[in-house]
Amino acid sequence: MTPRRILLAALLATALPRVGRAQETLPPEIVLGFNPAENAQTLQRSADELARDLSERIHVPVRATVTLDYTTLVESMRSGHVHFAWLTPSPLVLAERLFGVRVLLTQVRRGQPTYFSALVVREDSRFRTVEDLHGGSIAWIDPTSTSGYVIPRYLLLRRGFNPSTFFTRQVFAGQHDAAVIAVQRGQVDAAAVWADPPGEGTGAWTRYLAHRAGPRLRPLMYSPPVPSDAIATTETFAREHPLLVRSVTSSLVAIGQSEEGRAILRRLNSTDGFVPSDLRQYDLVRQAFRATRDEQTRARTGRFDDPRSMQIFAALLVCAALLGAGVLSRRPRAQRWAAFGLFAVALGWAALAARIPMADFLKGWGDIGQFIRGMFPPDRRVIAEVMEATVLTVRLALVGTVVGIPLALLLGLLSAENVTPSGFIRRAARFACNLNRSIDLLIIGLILVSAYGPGAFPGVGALAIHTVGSLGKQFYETLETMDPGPVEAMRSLGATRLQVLRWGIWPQFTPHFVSQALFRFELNVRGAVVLGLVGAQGIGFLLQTYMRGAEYGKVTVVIAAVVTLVMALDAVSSRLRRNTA
Amino acid sequence: MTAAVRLESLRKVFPDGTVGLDDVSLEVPAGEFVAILGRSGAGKSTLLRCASRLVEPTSGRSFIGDLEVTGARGRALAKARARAGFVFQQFNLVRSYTSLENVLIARISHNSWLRGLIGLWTPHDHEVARRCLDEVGLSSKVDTPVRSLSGGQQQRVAVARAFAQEPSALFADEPTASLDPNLAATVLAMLKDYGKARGVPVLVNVHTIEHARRYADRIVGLSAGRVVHDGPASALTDEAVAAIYAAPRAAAPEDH
Ligand SMILES: Nc1ncnc2c1ncn2[C@@H]1O[C@H](COP(=O)(O)OP(=O)(O)O)[C@@H](O)[C@H]1O
Ligand SMILES: [Mg+2]
Repeated sequence: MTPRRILLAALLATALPRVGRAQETLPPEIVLGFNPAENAQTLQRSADELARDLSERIHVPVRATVTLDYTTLVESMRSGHVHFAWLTPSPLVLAERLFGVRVLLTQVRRGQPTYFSALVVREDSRFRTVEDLHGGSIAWIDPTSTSGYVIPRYLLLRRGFNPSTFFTRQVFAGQHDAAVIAVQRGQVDAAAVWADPPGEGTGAWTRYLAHRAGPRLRPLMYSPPVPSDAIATTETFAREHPLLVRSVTSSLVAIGQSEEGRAILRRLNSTDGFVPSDLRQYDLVRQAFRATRDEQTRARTGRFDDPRSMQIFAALLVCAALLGAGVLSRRPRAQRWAAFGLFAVALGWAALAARIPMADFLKGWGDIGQFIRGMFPPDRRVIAEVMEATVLTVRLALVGTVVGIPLALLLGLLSAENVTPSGFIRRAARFACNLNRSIDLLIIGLILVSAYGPGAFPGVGALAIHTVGSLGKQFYETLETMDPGPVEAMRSLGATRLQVLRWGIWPQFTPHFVSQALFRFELNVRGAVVLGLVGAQGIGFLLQTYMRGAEYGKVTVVIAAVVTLVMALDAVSSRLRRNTA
Repeated sequence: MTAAVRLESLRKVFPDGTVGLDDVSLEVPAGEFVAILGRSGAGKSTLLRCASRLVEPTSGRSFIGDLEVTGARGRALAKARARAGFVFQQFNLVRSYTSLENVLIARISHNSWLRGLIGLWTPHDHEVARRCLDEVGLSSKVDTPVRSLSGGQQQRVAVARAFAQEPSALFADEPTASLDPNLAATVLAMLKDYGKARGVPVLVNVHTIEHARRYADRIVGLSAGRVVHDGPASALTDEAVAAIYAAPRAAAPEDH
C-alpha cells in the first residue's frame, strides 16, 4: 500500500463507524463512464475536470471515459471496465435488466431532479391534438433515448395509439437538434424531444433553433416529470467497495455544493448538482421501457447519420489515399521507400489510436462470450419483423442494381478499346468509372443519407451509383477480352460501328453480362445489409437498433436471417450463372 | 473487259515501321481464280485486308469493279467493304448463333441500317441464306448452333456467309489452314465454282502448292511485301516455287 492509500484507509476509518471494513482493497484507479452527447470533445474535457476534482477528494486516481454509445457504457459497467456511470434514465433501466445496479445519485437541473419530454410540431401546422398526427410521420431520437423515444412512445401507447400503426413513417434522428431541424424543414410532421417544465414553453426546439431562420415549433403534448440522469454503480462493486462507494457519493454531492465544482458541472449537461436518488422515481421509466420494448415494433424507420461515423470515415479515406499513393508510385526506388516509410508511420499512428493492451484484449474475449450467451435463446417474437426487413433489403438491392446496370453498360462500352475508337472518350469514361469506384459504398450511403434524410432512397441511390462504377469497370475489362474475329467478319460484311457492336461483340458478351450483373446483385444485397447501419432501411437497420438496445436475443434472429439470405442467394445465382455460361 | 479487282501501288507500313506491302499492283479479271503464295510474313494477309480496307493502306488505290474502295468514308466505306466477301482462317463466326443466323447477318448490306441493326431480315434474305447453306451442303445443319459443328462445317458456314453477301469479289485468307486436306479441297472447289458461276474474281491465300496448282488459274508469288511471281498455274515451275519461298534478300545492292 502506498502512503496515500493508507491515509485514505485511515480517513475512511475515522469517517465511518464500521472500522473493520476499512481494510477493503482499492482498485488501482476508478473509471467514471459518460455517455456521448452532442460534443464528445468538450464533454471529455469537462469529464476530465470532474475526475480530477473527485480524485483530489478521495485520494484515488480517477479516469473519465466517454463511450461511443449507451450500449457500450452499459456493457462496460457489466464487464467491470467502468465503475461509476453517468446514465440517462433508460440506459439505467436497460442496465438493471442485465445485471444488478445500484443507483446512487440523481442529477439536478434548474433546481429540479426531473425534466420533461414533449412532442413538437411546426407552429404553422394543422396539428392541434395528438390525434391529428394520425397517419403522419415522426422523428424519434434513438431507441435508448428517454425523452426522445421511451417515454413519449409509452404515453402514446397508454392513450391507445400504437405508434407503429399510428404513424405512417418513423425515423431516428440520432440527436435532438437533428430532430427539431427535420420538423422545421417539413421532413417529418413531429419530433419527440426533451423539454423544460411545461409552463415555460421551452426545450430542444427553442434551444437548437434559436439561431436558425425558418418556421418556429410548438409543443403538442408534455410528459409527466421524468427523473434526470443518474450516477450508478454495479451491485458487485458496491458490495466489494462499500466505503469507496460512499466516499464517491458524498464527494460528488460536495462537488455540487462547492463554487468551482459547480462551474465544472454546469458544463456537463447544465448540471447544478446531485441529490440522493428516490428509486421509485425511475418506475415511470421502467414501465415505459417494458412497454415499448415488448410491444411488437414493426419498425419502418431510418436514422440520420451520426457525425462521429462521418469523422471516422473521413480518417479512413485519408489513410486509403496515403496507401494508394504509396502503391501507385512505380517510380524510382527512393520514392517507393518514402511511400513505405509514410505507410509505416501511418500504421504506427493508427495502432496508437487502437490502444490494444494485452490484458484488456484477453478480457475482451470474455465480454464477447457474455454477448454470445446473451444471444440465446433467440427472441422468436421478431421473426416476422426480421423477415419483412429482409425482403425489403433484397428489394432495395434489386432496384439499385437494375437502375445502375444501363449506365454501367454505357460506361463500359465507352471505355472499351474494341468498341470506342476515340481515346479521349475512352479515358473520360474510364476516369468516371474509377472515380466512382474509389468511393466506398458506405461513404456514398452516408453522403446520400445526410442529403436526403434516412429511408429507402439513399440506400437505393448508393447501390445504384456504386454499381455504375464497379460494374462499368468489370464490363469494359471483359469487353476487351472478346474475340476480335467476329468483329473483323462483321466489318468485312459492311456493318457500321453500331452494327459491329450488335453482331460482333454483343453475342459474345451476353453470358458475361448476365453472370456479372447477377454477381453484382448478390454483392449489392450484402451492401444493402451494411447500408442499414448508416440509416438506409432494411435488415441492417434492424440489426443496429437491436444492438444499441442490447437486445441480443433479437440480434440472433437478424444474424440467422442474413446468413440464410446470403447462402440462398449464392445458391440461386451460381445456378443461374451456370445456365447462362 | 475491265479488271474486277485492281490494285495500284498498294503500300502498307505498320505503325512499328514494318513494311507489310511494298508497292503491289495487281489486276484480276472477273471469274479468275488467283492463288497467292508466299512464306509466312510475306504480306499475303495484309494484301487482302488492304484491298478490302479491313486494314488501312498507307498509300495506293484499290478498286472492286468500278468502285474505288480506298476513296470511301463512313457509310460509303461500309458499303464498299460489303463488295468483297471474306473467308477467314479461323472462320470468325458468332459461335452461339445457328448456321442460319450467322448467314443471315451477311444480308446486312442489303438492308436498311436499322433493319440490319435489329436483325429484321426479309423473307428474301431467308431464301438467300438457305440457298447458300444448301450450296455448301449444310441444309441439314441450318438450325444447329455453330459451336457444336465440326471445323470443316464451320468453315462451310463461313463460306455460305460470304456467298450470301452477294459480293463482287471473294477474298479468302488461308481458308484451309485449319482443315484436313480433303475438307480443304472441298472448300477450295466451292470457292472456285462460285467464282466461275457468277463471274466473280477469287483471291485465295494458300500454303499448299498442290492445291494452288490444281485449283488456281493463276499464281501470284509474294515475298517481303512485293510481287515476285505472276503467271498461269499450269506454268508454275519448281524453280519459280523455290524463288517464291526463298529467304527474302535484305535490301542490299544487286550483284554485278
Ligand atoms: N498489325 C501489325 N503490326 C505490325 N506489323 C504487322 C501487323 N500485321 C502484320 N504485320 C507484319 O507485316 C508483315 C506481313 O504480315 P502478313 O500479311 O500477316 O503476312 P502473311 O499473311 O503473308 O503471313 C509481317 O512481317 C508481319 O509481322
Ligand atoms: Mg497470314
